[in-house]
Amino acid sequence: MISYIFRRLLLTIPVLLGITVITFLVMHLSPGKPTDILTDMNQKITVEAKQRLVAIYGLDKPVYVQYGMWIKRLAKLDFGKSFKDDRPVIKKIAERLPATLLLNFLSIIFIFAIAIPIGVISSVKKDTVFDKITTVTVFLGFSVPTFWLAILLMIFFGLHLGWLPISGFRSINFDELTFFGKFTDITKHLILPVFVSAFTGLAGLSRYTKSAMLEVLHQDYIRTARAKGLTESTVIFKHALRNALIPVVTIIGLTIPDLIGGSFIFETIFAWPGMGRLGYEAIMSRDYPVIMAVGTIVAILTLFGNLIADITYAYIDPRIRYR
Amino acid sequence: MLKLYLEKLLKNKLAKIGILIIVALILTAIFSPLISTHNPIEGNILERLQPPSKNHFLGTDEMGRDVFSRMVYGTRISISIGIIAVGISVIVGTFLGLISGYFGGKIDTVIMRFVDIMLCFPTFFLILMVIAFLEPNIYNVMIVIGLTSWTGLARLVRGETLSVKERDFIIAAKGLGLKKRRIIFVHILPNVIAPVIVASILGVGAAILTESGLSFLGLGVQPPTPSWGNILTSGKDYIHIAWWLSLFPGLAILVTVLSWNLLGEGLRDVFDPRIN
Amino acid sequence: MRKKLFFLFLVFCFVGCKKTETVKQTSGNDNSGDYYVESSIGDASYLNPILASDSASADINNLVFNGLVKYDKNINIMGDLAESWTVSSDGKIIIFNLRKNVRWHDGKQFTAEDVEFTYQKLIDPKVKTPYSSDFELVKKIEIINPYKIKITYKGPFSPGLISWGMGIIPKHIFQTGDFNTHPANRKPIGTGPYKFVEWKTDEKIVLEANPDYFEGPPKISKYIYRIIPDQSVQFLELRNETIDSMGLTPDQYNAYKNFFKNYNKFRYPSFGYAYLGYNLLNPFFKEKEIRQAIAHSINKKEIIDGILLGLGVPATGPYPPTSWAYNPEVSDYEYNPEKAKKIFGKFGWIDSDNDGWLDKNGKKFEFTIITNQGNKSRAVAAELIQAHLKKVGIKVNIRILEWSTFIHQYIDKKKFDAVILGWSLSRDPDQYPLWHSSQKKEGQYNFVSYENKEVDKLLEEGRRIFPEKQRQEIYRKIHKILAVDQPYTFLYVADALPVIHKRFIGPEVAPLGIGWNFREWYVPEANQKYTLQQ
Repeated sequence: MISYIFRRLLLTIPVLLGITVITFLVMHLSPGKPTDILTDMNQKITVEAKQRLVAIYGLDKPVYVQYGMWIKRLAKLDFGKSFKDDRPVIKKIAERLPATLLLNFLSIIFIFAIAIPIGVISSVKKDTVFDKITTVTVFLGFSVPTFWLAILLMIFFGLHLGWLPISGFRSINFDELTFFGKFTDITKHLILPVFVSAFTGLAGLSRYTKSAMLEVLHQDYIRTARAKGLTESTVIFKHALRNALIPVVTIIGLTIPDLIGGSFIFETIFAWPGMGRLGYEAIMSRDYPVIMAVGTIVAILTLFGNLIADITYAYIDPRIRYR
Repeated sequence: MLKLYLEKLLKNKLAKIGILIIVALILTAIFSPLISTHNPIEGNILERLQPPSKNHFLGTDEMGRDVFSRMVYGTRISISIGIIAVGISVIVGTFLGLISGYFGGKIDTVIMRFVDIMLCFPTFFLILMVIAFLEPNIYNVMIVIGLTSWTGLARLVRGETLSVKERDFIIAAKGLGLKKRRIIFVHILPNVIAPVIVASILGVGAAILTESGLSFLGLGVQPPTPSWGNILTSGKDYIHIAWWLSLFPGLAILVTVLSWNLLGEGLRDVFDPRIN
Repeated sequence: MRKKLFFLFLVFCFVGCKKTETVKQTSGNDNSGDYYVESSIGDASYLNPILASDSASADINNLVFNGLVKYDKNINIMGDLAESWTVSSDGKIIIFNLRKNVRWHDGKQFTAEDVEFTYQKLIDPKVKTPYSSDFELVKKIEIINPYKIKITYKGPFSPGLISWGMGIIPKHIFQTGDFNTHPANRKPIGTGPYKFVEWKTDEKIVLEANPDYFEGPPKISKYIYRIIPDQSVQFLELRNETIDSMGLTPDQYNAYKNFFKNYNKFRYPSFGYAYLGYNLLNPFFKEKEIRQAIAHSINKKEIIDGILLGLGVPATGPYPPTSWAYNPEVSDYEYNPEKAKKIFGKFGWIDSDNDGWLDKNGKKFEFTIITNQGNKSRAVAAELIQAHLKKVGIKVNIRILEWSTFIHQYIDKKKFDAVILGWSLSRDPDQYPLWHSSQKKEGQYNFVSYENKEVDKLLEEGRRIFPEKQRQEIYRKIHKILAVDQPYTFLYVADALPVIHKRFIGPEVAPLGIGWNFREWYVPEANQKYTLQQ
């Protein structure tokens, strides 16, 4: 088992390098310098001052040299310093990661908790009213522009009903609350973003579960089980579901890039102080070190998710040996 | 065969609704100049933010332009983005999947490694980055969405190819000494096309949504060219004082993406041999 | 599904609803207390006035730091950390007498050494400050005693005095460690009315009243700066009364009255203008009469009504009406297409082939206006100008470009016919970088290549002379000449449109704007919304 995990870990290195190379190339082959935003059209900044800034940032060196420097520093876990405020990038990411992880972790849990039962039931009760309704519902979630749904919910639950806060991660008087008060406060702030994130992400997994279940239900051993006179629920939950879930597990890893991709929009609309916004702002102001770091961290998270999925897969499926 | 599929598809009510809406949208896109009532780009600034009326079916926007006409032309842009982006991704994905599956070996390893890399990339991050660094315009949006969404398809086609290539008729074709190109495109391709069709139909909806997300972040199709995404985004800022500016584009995106998905689902069932 | 859509539709119709507000009691007795919650689209970058160049950082730095001098509400220079100052008769030497009762937020005494240190950092090439140019004209700086400092300039430089409005930073904090990455850039220690409490990146910045402030402690006990990146969500929070203040767009300002039941709306001219700038190297725009004729063809009133909903005034020259350099005698070009056509005709531009466009020697009068992406009002202005000039027979094309490309490929390289942009101005009327003929090189700000010997001389003189009366005369002359020369067609001065929650007493619009007396604002005890738990 341990050597299997180790080998899987080694395999992630070329993938990681590939991702950083692509990110780096895209960044450097495009027009515009990161100093533009800082200096352009500010009467108080002279030409000499602009050139000085370029020299400080080392932007006059060739691309491959800059990449080499970046990799060297990465080996020491040094992501460099942000162009925007000169802070270590790793610190900036550490500040944002918890909010993003909290939101995405909860969404994943809700997605799994809701999508799998929907998939199972609609496979068993295929073509019934329940199947049709859930099909349309999960696709409604998939089809609605997230930011629009978010604003509508904010207006309804935040402004009109006043039940939930409109945006942000916690209230302004958060520090003065009791422990229980803090917990309630964050929970309240989480409801809308988690709902929108989970609701818009149900479709993939529920459809996948449904087709995996349909496939399993046609297998011989299910017929055998039924023939043996086992109750329908035993057949479905003990025999069919367990086998259908095996391929579903592999989806965990692949959900992460989508969720993080969604964070760019989510965190902007909900004023959520997470990594998606950090990445978006970095892209818009060409903050190269931050862009590289966000890309790398997201890739690591995804690879980590895949690894967990693969290990779980190997663990629950006896056919897989730790080759 | 085709007729059989079509009959089966039309039995599915949800898919039928999807088809009807899609056909209506494509007609709208083709005939936008005839359907629209005003110029979608020029407006009278003094007639701005008017609610829906007889003259302006869906009201006017913050620049006094007719929202109905903008929506009609936006159909053209948004549907084109969906179809062309998917076209690019289908061509690239199918081609690489076929090659990878048929030849195996080093070619397969290289292509699949690259696919692995791309699958770990949060696609939206990559799209954002490329478009922000190039220039956000309709062509870049189409191309970038297309070039970042082919990986799943390539995997799918590769898997199908792997199983098809072991079938007797392919082995026979090889025995007859047919050219590889002919075997791949004439004999294998038709046998892997069904899942490609389903995936591409689902992809159109996703591409339209991606464009709206890009527009929200200011990196979609740039105004004054109307796309549903940018009409919705600029309408969002007026949600408190002019509801019609965001309601109609929001619903249009919702209904359209839903239609493509219902059609895709319907097709999936039709092609699924288990469900007969 | 239909039911669901109907539900969504209803959501839109519930506008202007009101939430009950809980009012808490406080134990204060002089109406001090309560929080003030402000919001911003973007987060701050450096809480260090020397390094920061964005408006969010400036909002915070202005409350945490003091300069030696500042503007009073009528834009006269007054002392801040300096009690008084003298300028030598040749204008080359300024001596500041500093306040003796000022302490940094950590308790250390403020002295002339801090001023000297601030200056050294401003001219240090390793420091990433965008403000060095004003201080490069300083020849030397001498500490006479801990509360007296003498600054000698290479030549007389009148904008020099107000450049000392730059926030002064504490030497004892910054003398160790790298300046650009110093931890104090995120935990500032200043002398100002508010002390730094915490900064949660991309979420909020919290300041609290400084009880030892040298002009007396401010009344509002906490200042909270929330980061809300989306404009519509920001407005939603305002309607929910979860933020107390916000700058409105003209549409929001004109929105339903009941949105603002609990807010006071303010309106005053902002300190800047939007313009249509001509590339004077382009043969079309060589004669000033042609530029004047274009000015006659542009209907500024329609632009102001359309873009600003009337919440602005036409700009007549390079100074807004609230500037003391503004020349009230300069009248605007009347909108008169007929007169414009006559002028064009005088210069040979007539529609000889009856195609609707003016031409001369077989060449059509056609040019392209460029502007940057992401600024809706500039794009609309371009479209309106396009329509106006069509009426007199000039064909205008519009290109909207991404900012970086716009600046580097087009503006810096002077590859443009005409451009729509705006300037946000400093209160000092010195506009040497914009109009002086020595400032036409690539990357400098006189990108329209304006050259007028008289203006050059006036700009130089304006920098040499100190008394405001005399400077006013100079800059009013400049205003008048630029209005005649029309290197830009000055379009409009937009109004700033802030709203502030009604429970705050004290906000008052002055020529300087609205926040000038923030320290004195308060909330009557009974209306206080937030209380500090004891």
